[in-house]
Amino acid sequence: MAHHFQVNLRGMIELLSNHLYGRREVFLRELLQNAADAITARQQQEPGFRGEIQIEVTAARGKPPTLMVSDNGVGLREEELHRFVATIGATSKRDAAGKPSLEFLGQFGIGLLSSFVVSDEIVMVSRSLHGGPAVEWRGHADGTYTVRSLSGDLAPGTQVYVTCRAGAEELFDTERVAELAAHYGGLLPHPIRVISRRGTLQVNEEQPPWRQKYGSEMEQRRALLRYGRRVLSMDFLDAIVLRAEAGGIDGVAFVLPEPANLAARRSHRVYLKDMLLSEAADNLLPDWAFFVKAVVNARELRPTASRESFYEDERLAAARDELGSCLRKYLLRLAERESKRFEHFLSVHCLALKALAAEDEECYRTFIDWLPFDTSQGRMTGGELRRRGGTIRYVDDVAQYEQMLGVASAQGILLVNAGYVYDAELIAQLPHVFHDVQVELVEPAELVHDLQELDAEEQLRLQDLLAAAEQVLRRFRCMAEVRKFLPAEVPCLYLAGSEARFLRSLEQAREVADPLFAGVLGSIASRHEGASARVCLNLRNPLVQRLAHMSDSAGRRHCLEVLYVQALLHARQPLSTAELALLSDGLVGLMEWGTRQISEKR
Amino acid sequence: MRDLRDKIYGLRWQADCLPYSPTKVALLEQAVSLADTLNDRELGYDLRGELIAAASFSGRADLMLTHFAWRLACYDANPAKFDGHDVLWQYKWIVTNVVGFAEISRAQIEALLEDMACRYRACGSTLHAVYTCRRRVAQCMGERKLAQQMHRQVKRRARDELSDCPACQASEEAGYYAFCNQPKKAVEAAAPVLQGRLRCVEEPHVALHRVLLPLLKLGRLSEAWHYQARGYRLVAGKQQFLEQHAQQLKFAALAGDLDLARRIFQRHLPCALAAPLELDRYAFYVAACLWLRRLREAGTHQFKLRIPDGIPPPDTAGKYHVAELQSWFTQQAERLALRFDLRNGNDFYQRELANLDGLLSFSQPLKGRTDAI
Repeated sequence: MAHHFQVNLRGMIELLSNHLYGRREVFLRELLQNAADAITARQQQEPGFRGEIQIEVTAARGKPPTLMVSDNGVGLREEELHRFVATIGATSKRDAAGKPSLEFLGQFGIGLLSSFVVSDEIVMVSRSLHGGPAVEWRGHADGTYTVRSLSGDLAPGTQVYVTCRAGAEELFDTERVAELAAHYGGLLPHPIRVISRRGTLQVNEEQPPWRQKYGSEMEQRRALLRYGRRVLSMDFLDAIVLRAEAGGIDGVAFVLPEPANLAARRSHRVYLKDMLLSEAADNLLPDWAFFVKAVVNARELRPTASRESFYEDERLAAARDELGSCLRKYLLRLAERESKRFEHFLSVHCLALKALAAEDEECYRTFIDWLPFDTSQGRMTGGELRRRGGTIRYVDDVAQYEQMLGVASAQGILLVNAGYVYDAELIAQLPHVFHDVQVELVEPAELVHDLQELDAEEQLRLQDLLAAAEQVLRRFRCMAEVRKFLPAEVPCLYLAGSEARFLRSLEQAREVADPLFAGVLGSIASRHEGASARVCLNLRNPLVQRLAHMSDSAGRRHCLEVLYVQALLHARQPLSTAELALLSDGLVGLMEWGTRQISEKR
Repeated sequence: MRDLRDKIYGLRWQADCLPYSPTKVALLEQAVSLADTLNDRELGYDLRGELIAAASFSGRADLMLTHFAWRLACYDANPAKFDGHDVLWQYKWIVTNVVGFAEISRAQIEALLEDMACRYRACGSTLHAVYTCRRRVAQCMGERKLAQQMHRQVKRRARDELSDCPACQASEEAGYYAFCNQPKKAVEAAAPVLQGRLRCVEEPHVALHRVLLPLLKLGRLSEAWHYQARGYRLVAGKQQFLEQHAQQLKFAALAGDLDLARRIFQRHLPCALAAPLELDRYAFYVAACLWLRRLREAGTHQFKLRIPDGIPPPDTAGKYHVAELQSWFTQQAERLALRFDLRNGNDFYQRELANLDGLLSFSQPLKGRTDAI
């Protein structure tokens, strides 16, 4: 035969309150939820009925304060009371299939019991709409409770009295209670009134601004922004009304006034059936929507067990698509009709637009001409690049771009720095969307092809120099070339593609690693055998010109050694041990050579 | 020098603001390189810690390994000066990744595992994390018996502060059962993660994919499709999940949505071709073979695709031939299978390739019209 565990309620509550430490105030949410559910149930039987929730903190001298939450909802009869309160987690209404109905998410029993986190005694007085005497339930934190019938003619509804446990006093302060009630129940369609000696204060609005009607769009926008400032304490750029059939969602997305940190977790304020669920829901909007903070209510989504977010299911996915399309429509409209505001938006949330354009072809077409890119000829928009004609050349790595920038600008070569998020994707997509545009991804070493080649006579003349350079560079996996380019002050360029750069850092690590790791890195290096960087000497540079005429091979070799290291330093490459040795040998060699020259002249 | 330092901090700050991505890696690489020109070891050490994480979460195992080697040497040279916990933690990523490089010998892998165990032991670890890594390595090397032994060791040892988080642990276990062809246990092990009770930065992303094939084998199709959709949303835009992209492709092919498979193939092929880890590449190629085989069986012989060069080019009408693609991918997969088997000293991967029919026996009827492709 099956037995039941004897569950020690006190122990459970202790566990629960330790777990909820710092979030003990949720008991108030649970009480509000129960009250709201009871009113909804009554409204189903009496359409048009006006519900109301009242909250009051009272404290008799010398006694702990008591919090009372009362509603004029459907009320409970004695047998219902036993059933819901005695079974943890039971809900007051189930649908035909026996599953908890979506209409009543408040888990009545749990909701009530959560108050034991701040109290040792809870009293509930309830009178059912369906008649019968009023009942009083008196529960204790040790799991015992008593129920008795009350005489007297009470109006239908429920009052819950929670007596403060020592240590929870700060949650029984009227101001704090009003604040929490507004926080949790701000969207509830029934008025919540907090009664204090100073009078009665209604803590929620009748309707959140996105459910109200306004004379004009402008007026609505102002009301939404005012609401945003009030509930989120921020002056937002704009407000976008959100609606989704799936999940029964409505709400507003506020456009952040500052660029968003892409690495930060998104957090939106979400309500479930008008009761605050979480301030940090992260999965309600598409990933690219990092430029907004949303406040939304969902009627039909499932919360996760931790009640921080929504459960990932088909309905949520459909809702996310719909909400994404609200935001897309807003942006598309802005771009098409309100160019001033769109430009302002762009100046703040350029990355968000890039993310969206990378994901969605319609947005790509609309936005691409506006989107700014960093180029060797300054900032240019996608439209400017596209209309310029010719092949658009881009670099997809910031470090590589820097290597090429100086020469590219001096030479008048247009290079797009697409090393930043989304840029490379966006540029690469251009020819797929606009068939007359061509793009090319360039690596630093390829820049050499753009530099002026030597004529046949010069080539012949420089054969020796080139051979000498190659000899110096071979062991550094580097190829040598001579070209003519601007700026003339630069004697020599070091150009390394991503593979060559990776290999450099690998060799650098190998120099310091223990034998085990050095061996492992050696195995990996073997696949990059062919990778090499380029050193390009500049024949416009006077030093290089003189070098070409230099007959002393030792002196020339030392010059080349030092030039190589200088090119590395210029390209901000850390030097390997071998390169440092080369520098030192080269300098010493040059000094010896120089002093010998002087003494020979004498 | 001041300028350079400002520049380094600027790069780091920019990287901080980005999610794991190639851009983040590039910015940190640049910062590391500049710190090295200053010969600032401490800064180099810190920045490399960030770079290693970024590289690991962006699918750049080669870069991760390189900078880890530097960092470990730096730590060994002066253990009092640097945070060692961090190095030990990242060591787990190293050993589970090296096995994916075919060039790295079995002896090297075993030496790394031993070195890691020594270091873990020295700081009082229960070695729970080490055996978890060993179990994974055994799986990647196709050593079922060894994996089972390691699994027993994992179960015998208590978790400690070097163990992966509970979500990762549950997911790893699911992966182990899937490897052992125990689909029911795999799904059970993943349950806490699938249900959202456990989560972390990488979970449920990985677990959602680990159960796809097991669920297919169990005939629990609707659950599998549900997890497929949930999982794909999480991993679609992230390069480090190439293994999961391969699992998506494999699942879509076997479960019969060939058009979905085409979209997955087209979107992730560029990354697969460039993946530093050959094991990831191999998994993608195998999945592609399965998809192409089903396409042919469905009567599709040529179609248009938007894919990078480097594989057999399309005909003059711009169409790719399924048969040509299939033979290309089969060849690539066979070449890699051979290399891995030689390295591992067994025939696991070649047998896997020879036995694709076994997998195809779990195929589901095709969804929708195939001629729409």
